[in-house]
Amino acid sequence: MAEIIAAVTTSHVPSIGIAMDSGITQDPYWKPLFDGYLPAKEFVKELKPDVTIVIYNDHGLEVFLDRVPTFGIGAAAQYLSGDEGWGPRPIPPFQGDPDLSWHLIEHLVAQEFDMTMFQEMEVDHGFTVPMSVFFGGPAGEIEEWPTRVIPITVNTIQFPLPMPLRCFKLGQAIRKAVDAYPKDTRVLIMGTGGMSHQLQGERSGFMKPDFDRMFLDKMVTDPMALTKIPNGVFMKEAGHEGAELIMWLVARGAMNMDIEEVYQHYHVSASLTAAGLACYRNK
Amino acid sequence: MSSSDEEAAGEPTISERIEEDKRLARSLEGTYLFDGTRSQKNYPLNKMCMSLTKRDNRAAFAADEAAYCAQFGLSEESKQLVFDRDWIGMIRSGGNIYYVFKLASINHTSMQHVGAQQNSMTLEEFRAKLNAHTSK
Ligand SMILES: [Fe+2]
Repeated sequence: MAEIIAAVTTSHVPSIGIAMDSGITQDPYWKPLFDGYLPAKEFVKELKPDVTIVIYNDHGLEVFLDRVPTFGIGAAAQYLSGDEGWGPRPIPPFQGDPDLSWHLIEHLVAQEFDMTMFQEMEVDHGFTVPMSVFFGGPAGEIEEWPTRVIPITVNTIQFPLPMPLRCFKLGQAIRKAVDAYPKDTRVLIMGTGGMSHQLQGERSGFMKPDFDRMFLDKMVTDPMALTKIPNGVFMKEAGHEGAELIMWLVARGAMNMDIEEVYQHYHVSASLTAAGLACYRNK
Repeated sequence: MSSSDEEAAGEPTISERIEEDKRLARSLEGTYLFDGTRSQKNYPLNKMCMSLTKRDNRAAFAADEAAYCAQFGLSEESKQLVFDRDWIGMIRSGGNIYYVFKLASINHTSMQHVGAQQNSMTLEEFRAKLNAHTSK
């Protein structure tokens, strides 16, 4: 039987990927952030997940404003790192798991989550940076990814965004779908995005560590309180782009109510973003 | 009209919830809620910017920015914002930061540069603003 063995969450900032790819992670600016990632990499290495489900948002690589899926899921055999304007990241291709993807699609739709299905998709920094953070970077550190992947996308670029409670329930539905998968498969769920940051407007550069700390605490102790925060409040407290934090709630929903935080790291800032990371196990 | 069962006494209606969310988001100074209204405002600009994720398109843009922008139907004002790399102008006119940032990326202009310009700050001033959070 398949099972979700752990959840991990992290911010997904393009410049973190650029720092890894250009070999400057030990520079004074970046070193504290990357040092903070080391225990998380160890945690994931020991987990040895067969499949990693990555919850992220596309930032205009695959999705334009002509059609914006609220929730999407990849069903491809392979996913390549896409070109976001500065060329694709120099990292190995990601191997998919179409069999599990289609199982998830059937089980999510049966639970009334009407996913948009992608049989061809490239992935952007929202996906690739967290994968490098947990599984290996800089580019060249790994020859191939030690896990298959399934991308799940959440619309966080055009309002209305899905409600936080809906994101949490999607996580619960993913959990049920994985539990019903007959093949022995160790699944890691990865929530990405946030924490507080704003990129657009005169308010760009906004961050709010107090809010982020509260969010990190409640991820463990009271996730339902986080699901009650309206998206407008997320924008106020975490920034117009920081509303991405709703994607952490998908990962949280796939876990037991009682979880243990194995590791946490919080660093202000990676470029314009308050960078948070956490590793969780079921109790 | 009978009130629906879902509307328990004292609970806000769905319309009230949506309006409250938008009112709050729109009240944030220096923030441009990217909702349906805004998404319709400068569709050609966002479309042009997204096209720059293709290498051949970047070359065509570099060869003749005006002609390239014209293909996407950008207004004269929007073309000027693009020529000037006026990031805050593009955001105000309906640009979405994720698409607009593709235009910045082709010249390796960092988000910090874009943020500084949106704040009418020098890069050093903007970095000081970012670093100010560290001490909190
Ligand atoms: Fe993002």
